[in-house]
Amino acid sequence: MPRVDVELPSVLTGLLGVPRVVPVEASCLADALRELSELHPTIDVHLFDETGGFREHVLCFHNETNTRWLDGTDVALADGDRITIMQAVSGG
Amino acid sequence: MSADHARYHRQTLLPAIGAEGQRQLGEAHVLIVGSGALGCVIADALTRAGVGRITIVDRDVVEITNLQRQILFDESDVDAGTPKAIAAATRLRAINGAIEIIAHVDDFNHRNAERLLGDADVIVDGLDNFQTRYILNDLAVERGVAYIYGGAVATGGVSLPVLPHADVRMAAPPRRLTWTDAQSTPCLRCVFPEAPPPGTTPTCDTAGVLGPLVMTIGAHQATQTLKLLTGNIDALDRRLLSIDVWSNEWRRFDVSGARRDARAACPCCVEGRFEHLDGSAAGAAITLCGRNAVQMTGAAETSALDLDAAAARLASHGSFHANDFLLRGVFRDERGPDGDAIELTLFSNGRAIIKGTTEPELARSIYARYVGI
Repeated sequence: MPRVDVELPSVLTGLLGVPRVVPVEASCLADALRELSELHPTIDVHLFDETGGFREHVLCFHNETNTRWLDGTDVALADGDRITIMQAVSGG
Repeated sequence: MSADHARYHRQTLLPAIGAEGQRQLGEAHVLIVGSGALGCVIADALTRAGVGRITIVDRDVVEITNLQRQILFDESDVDAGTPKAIAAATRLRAINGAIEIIAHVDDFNHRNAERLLGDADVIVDGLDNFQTRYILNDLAVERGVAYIYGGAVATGGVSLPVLPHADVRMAAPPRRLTWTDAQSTPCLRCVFPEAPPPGTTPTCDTAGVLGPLVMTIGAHQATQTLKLLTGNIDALDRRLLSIDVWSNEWRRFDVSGARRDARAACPCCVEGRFEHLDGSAAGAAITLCGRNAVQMTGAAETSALDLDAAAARLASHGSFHANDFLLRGVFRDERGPDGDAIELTLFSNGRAIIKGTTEPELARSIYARYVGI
């Protein structure tokens, strides 16, 4: 099973007490996100909407590719891949 | 050496600026919306650089909690209760009396957006909420004006330049600052189609904010603006910048495909629907008759607001308690125009009643800062 790192937005991790980088074992992106939810359920409401998809102010990159522009989260992962989740920031 | 020549000498030494770039800066007009932490940094940098006209719009008054990061203000502004736009303009005129500073103490909204824009060449974002940011984005796309988004909270921030495509631009007088279609970028809604639902993203009032972070993001926004105004459009950082100054992470994401590759066409810069600028997407702020209260409904409702978590985030600002249906509490340091304490009742779908004021602008500000939109 590939081991990948899921990097979370720092504006959330500090507030929720969740690690900045969460290592998971998953064969596809959907499984990696499911694993993330199981490990840190408090972050769900901030990232995902009622349908389970990413909220519209959240971006998810698989390595350098924005996954919003893919057909789904059935994306094969390879050992060492990086999933980066970032979000729009409101304050100023 | 003339005074103007001496003032800008270290800047005109830069080959990318030179005397011609300095002349372009002197003829430019920049609109800065929001004179909080980011707005102060941006206005300070552009004033020192010699941008000929700077318009500043802000609805708030300087408070003691601002001084940690809002670099144009001091204790005398707090004591006098000076509006931020006025305090900023006073300080900026003292820094550079050779340029024009225009201050508006006003809530920037869909009704006054086009009037306040005037003939500005660039809109720079010093805001604290998404509702108004999407108005800026609509305005920029509709009028063909460059827009520099920036946001900062806790120790992390982001910035993105928007050079709108010409496809849906309204017929308008030609602007001084132009760019080619190849130099155009996706707009803010291509990258972030909708604002965060209430309560799903931290604000500076609930998560805090580090002073040097806003200086870093504001400096990036100001640099982007100077590149545009001096015609160095190809030097623009076109990526989405995301930094965390505490964990020492600087990331730049390529979002150039956002407009072309999106599964749903951007309602703003592809379909030409300016629902934030025409007011149809605005969340309502309704003064409740005879109750000294304003009801806020978000533009996007949520059914997932975690009221216990919201109460915990607000704990340092007063006494707040949540049950299965609502959160209620009183802010320790917030007061309405008549000195009444401000009470917040927040429902799990994001609707809120803000008691202690009948002013929608104040209610919107409280909601943006403590609930988040």
